[in-house]
Amino acid sequence: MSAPVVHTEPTGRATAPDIRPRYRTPGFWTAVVAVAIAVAVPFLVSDYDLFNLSRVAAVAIGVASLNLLTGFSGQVSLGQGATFGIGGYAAMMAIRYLEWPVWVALLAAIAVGALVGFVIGLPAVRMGGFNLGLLTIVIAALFPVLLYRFSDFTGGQAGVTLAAPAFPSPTDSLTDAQWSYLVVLTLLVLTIAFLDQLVARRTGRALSLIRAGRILAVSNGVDVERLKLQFFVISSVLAALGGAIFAFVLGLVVPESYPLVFSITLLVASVVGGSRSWIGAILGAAMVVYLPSLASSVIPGEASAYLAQLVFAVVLGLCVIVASSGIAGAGRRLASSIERVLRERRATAPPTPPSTTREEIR
Amino acid sequence: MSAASSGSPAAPILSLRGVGISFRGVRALDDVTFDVPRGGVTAVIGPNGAGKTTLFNCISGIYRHEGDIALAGADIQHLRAHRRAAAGIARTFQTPTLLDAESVFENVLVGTHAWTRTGPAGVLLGTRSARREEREAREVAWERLTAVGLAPVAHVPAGALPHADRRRAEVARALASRPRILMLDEPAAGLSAAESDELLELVAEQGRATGMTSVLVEHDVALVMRTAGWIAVLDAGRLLATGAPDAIRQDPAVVAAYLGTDAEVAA
Repeated sequence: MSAPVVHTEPTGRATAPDIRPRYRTPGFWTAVVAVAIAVAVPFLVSDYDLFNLSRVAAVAIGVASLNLLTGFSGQVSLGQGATFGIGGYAAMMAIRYLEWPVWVALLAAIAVGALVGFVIGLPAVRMGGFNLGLLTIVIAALFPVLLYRFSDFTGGQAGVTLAAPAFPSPTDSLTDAQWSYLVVLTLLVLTIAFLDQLVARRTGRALSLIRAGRILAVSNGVDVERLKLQFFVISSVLAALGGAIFAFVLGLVVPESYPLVFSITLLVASVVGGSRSWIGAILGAAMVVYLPSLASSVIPGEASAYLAQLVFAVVLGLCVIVASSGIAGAGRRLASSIERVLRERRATAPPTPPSTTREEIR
Repeated sequence: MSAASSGSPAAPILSLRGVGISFRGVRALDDVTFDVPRGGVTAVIGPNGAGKTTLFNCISGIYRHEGDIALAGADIQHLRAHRRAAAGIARTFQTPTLLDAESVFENVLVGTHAWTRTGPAGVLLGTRSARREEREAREVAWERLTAVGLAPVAHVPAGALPHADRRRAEVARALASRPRILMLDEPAAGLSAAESDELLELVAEQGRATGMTSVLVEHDVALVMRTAGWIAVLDAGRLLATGAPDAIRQDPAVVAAYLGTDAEVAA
């Protein structure tokens, strides 16, 4: 037996930093305020604006799924738009051909998303990096082609449409658009709450290790392949869910909604919004939805599409150069430097005990 | 009592049998066979390119290798790297590798991954066992952080630490994994003599307290002779000798191949 060792007694505060409850983080209250505003919106704006905002919320789920993949698990997908579209088609076809209820159709989209994620993810996790980018871009390029090729099944160019609104208002005091917006908003909030909790604690630490490097991760006992596959599948599930909701909001799915460019646009939205931030996903999604219509208000006609793409490219370039953590990251840095200035004004504040918390909403 | 004092103890903590590896036809390690005695500090020494770090990478499972490795009598050669970490093999790196954006505390906390079990579902649901395990992990991390003397900078981003503290943080992270074997890759590099002595004393103290065995790769022969109870000498990928420091110092093959000048400098 070895002799008992006298440990140097840590003086003063000798306990580990507490886990601060979620409701005590500033990010939580920011989110609460944001949700409160979002809930008030349908009573202030037109039904057409609500339609656009519902699209933003649905696309935001897709972008958030990409944030989970790129920002948190360190993988890249250039084919998330295809998975988004597959979710849309799965849900719409389940309603149209199988006459399943809307909520069951959403579950069907989730199941199809999981299957797609597993089938792509299994080889993808082994490839990683550049090859994974190539594989997913091929899938994104093939998807619309296959939709046309199997037009008996997919409706070809005409796609699949809904006969009635997916989320009809249950009450006379709300229009369909208002109700639909609130439903989609709820699904977005649930998704983000799910994601925010998913990347916390032990899982979050494993993801940090994976991003820092494979050798570091495995040396600390992280099963890198398993975790990457899990996150690829979860990401695909959420992309499919977002796609299904998007299809319900539009009331139709057509191949031209899901070209290769759409997949790339989602990735750009993730980077520009901030791929480690959930608010960033919403900002990125807003850009995806509003940029084309803003562009067409500046230049009419076909040229507007090019203008939208040009603006997108310029914003992406700016982000890569000046704000590598996206708009949300830049905002967070601005906030923390303002906080630092304020703190220095207060001069001699007592030192704060170390308290580890994920202080920002991601 | 200490097992590492002299002679070959009955039950080694780590047994290497015919460990070998080639990179593009170059034999980096060839038929390396020796035992690491349980407890205490064992050193692996040898000139540059002898295969010391390669040996670490084989033991921790980073490289696929030939031969058999047993940890406390159980074969681990078929285990992948993360399973070996979970089995109790921890390591540090030649260049301290930390999550620079995360706090020092968070950097030590990641070491607990090796023995914690909560999966994504447990984290998501915040189950009772997940919360209990999280608390325990934080306590262990804090205790190790305190042991290496980094508690005052617990909330500082690891990227802001000076080199010596980066080494300490890495050692604390490895210790937080509750290892049976701690492998230190050139722990003295970039540290002053006083700093490296302090660090190795701390590791030895943890070893005495927990029964952990330390294995270190080191260039500094004087430091090795001071701290190690058992030494393995590698040269050009082959095992040259193993033994207690005194025996190694007088081994003609070792002196001829490696120690000669360094030993004179150290003496």
